[in-house]
Amino acid sequence: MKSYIIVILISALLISTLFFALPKTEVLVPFDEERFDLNVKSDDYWKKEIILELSILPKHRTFLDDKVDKSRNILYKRLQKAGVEEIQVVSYKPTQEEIESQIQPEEEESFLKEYIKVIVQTTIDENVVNQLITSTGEIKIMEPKEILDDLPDEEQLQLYMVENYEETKWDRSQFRNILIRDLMAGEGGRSYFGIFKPGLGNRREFNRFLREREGEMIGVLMDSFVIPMQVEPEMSNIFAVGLGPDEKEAKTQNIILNTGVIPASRISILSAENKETDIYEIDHIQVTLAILISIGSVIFFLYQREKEEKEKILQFAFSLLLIFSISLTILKIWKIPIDLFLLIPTGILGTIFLKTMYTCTTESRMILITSVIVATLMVIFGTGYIPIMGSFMLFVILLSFITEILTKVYFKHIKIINS
Amino acid sequence: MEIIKYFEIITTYQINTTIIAILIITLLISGLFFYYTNDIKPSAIIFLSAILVPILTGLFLLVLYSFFNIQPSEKHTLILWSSLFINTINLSMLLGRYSKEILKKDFDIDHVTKYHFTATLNLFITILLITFAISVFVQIDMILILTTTLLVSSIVIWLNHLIARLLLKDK
Repeated sequence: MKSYIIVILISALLISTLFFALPKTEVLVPFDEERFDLNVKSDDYWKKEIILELSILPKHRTFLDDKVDKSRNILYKRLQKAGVEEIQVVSYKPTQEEIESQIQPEEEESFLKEYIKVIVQTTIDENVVNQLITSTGEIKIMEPKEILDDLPDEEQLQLYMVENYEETKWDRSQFRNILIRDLMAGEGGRSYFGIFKPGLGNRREFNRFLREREGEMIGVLMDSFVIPMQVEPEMSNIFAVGLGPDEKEAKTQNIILNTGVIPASRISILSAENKETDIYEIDHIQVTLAILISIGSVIFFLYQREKEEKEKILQFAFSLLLIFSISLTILKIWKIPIDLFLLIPTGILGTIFLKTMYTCTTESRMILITSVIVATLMVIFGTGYIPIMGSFMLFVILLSFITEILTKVYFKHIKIINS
Repeated sequence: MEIIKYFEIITTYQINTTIIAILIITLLISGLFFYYTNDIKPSAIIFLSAILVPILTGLFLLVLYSFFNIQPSEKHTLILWSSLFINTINLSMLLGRYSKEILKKDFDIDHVTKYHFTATLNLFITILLITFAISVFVQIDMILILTTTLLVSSIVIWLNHLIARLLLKDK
């Protein structure tokens, strides 16, 4: 009786998930009053070619190429950390026409100008991308000039103007990192704060700097405007700057403040042009057919090999079908945004992984460990689409554990019923 | 477009992270097999193999960009990582069997290389079948990625077999 129940349950799981996984089945069943189709990202993509103008101080004239190279690296790192799918950051020489089309403020003339072309194709919010590529990432702790001492009420905006402050030695290079944390703010609300962590050997000096200014006002320069703040006694333990309650803004600031300082006084957008997105057009039916036929061909190949046990081939086919149907069902029900074309290489690698796990049983432990290592490194070190594919692969490997157990249980109980 | 221009597209950050990732894969996997076999030769095979994957991928991509008028894209990094994944599975089959056999009193390296030949052939036919089956349903850009991955990984897994035969024969 127990065997019958188990076999029925696992069969039901396979049939129901397969039903959910197959294309166009969403039209047959209303699910929570909305369609449970795959949440494909392709419609959300946008592509832009942006020319950035870097204003560099003339004293850096001799290391200009290094500065541009460093800026390219930082821009790429920022966009990659934000999850931008396609990035290209290259040095650029603008045409005279492009330069002339931009209105230059008079005080800007003393700067050296270098240009970088950034091409992005992504589903990330355009404002976030713009913020990431136009912030230098520099922060400076500044002291107010006397002009701010007795400021009339109507002149309060002067508090945020950089020209009303004097620089101190405390800039981004003096801090190890800026830790972004969600902390309690006044009046019971929560807000994000950037906690400044001084570099080793700087802590004592920074605490002394703050103690000397207890009760006084200082300013923190971020993105060309100053955040004025009163130095409180507890600041020598934790120096935190409020970044507001918006999580998206805090995440963006976290990337900007912790990926390095772009060696330019200012970054501005010289031009921005929309481009046609370059996405591999592939639909759900194509993906399903492609994966099912590749699974079928592998099973056929294994079946033709006399050495392979027929039961093992059946187990492999059953397990593969379970992985395929469960993973697509999860993607559909939870509406996880996906790039459909990524399912193809993931399907190929998943099939190869599972096939070797079933056919090379003595080495399966090694295959499992090394596959997990590579998939994890894809998530950590990959760029563009690779972290997404790495997380898919980790998910497939984890799912293969569960389906292997289910398959073994299923075949064991089938045998019991048959005997 | 001259070849040098393709290198200008890549940032040093991309190169560094890829090198670090490959080094970590190499060190972790060779460390794992060194722990099981107490033999340095498997580590040498892993190291050589891990170097071959990015070199071959780079060469194939240069050929694609130069002769087939294909624009560089972030999607092409799929070739490198997919080939690395397939290569790692192949190495695990070889060295997993090697670490089991080396513990036996009647250890014979021929058993390992013969087994690896069959396993590599099996893997090669599997990749070939899957790639061709899938290629029917996808557009040309995707076929290029799949075919290049097939070529890179096939060359690397067969080279793995050759390197293994050469390096492990004296044991």
